[in-house]
Amino acid sequence: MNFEQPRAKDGRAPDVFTPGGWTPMRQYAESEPVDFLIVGAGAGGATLACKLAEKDFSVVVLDAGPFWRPLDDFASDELAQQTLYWTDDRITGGEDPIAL
Amino acid sequence: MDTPYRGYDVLAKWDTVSFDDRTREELTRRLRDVPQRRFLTKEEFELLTAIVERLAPVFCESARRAIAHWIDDRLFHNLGEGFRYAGEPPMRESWRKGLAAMDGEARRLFAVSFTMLDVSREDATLRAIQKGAVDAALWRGLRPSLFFSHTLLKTIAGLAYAQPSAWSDIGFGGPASPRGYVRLGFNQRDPWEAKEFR
Repeated sequence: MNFEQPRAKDGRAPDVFTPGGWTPMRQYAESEPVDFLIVGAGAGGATLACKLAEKDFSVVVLDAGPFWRPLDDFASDELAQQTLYWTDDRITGGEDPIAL
Repeated sequence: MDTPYRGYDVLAKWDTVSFDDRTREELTRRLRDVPQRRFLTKEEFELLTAIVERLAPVFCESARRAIAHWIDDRLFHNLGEGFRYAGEPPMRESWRKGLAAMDGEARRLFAVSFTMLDVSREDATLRAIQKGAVDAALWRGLRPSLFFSHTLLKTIAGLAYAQPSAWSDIGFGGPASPRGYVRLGFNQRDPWEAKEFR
């Protein structure tokens, strides 16, 4: 699987509950106004987007990472799960810098 | 390794519901396809190997040998951990400078390369670096104790425990999914968990 290639496109997104499955996805043209634009499909953003869409709002979500299929992509293993993390450098500083 | 979990082998559960296909695939690849050296020079790699041998001596030989290869592979792909401390160079530069400085400390203290030292002199060199008792000029802006603890030790420990043989040594149950664990209270254990003999 090439995770650089978008999976959610052509009106469908991966169905995370079914290996290899798909679920319909609404799409909007770039010029089309929508009710909500959510940046980041993490635990907060993805849940909020889902709730809003279920209430019939138009929602667009932007995310920098791959659209994972947990059942197909995830090994139950600490090192393998590193692929989930943001690996570009963020700088931590100040008097008491924390490991991010 | 001396372990209270004697007789326990996490991979004995390989064909049970403790592992799923995806996890089996991942571990098979990890144990079978140890990557070839592609980033570090031969000299840097030999130095790193000698350092790993000394910092991770309790792990079995095949496990120790993979660690330097995996570090080289991370450097080749420039795959960091997502942050660095202000004032520290990027990952590749850190490792290059850090390894060169470690060899420089060995030469400063004992007039030979780290790879030529006996165990007690290796330890003396590593201790000096850990404490920051170094010749600052050799480190070219890198903080020696930070490189030692944050970069070197943490990376080596993380990779050492990516290996099932190390899981068996510490009684780690392996994958949390799909079977997982249900008896979570004090002094409870699931029958598929490691048994501790004290």
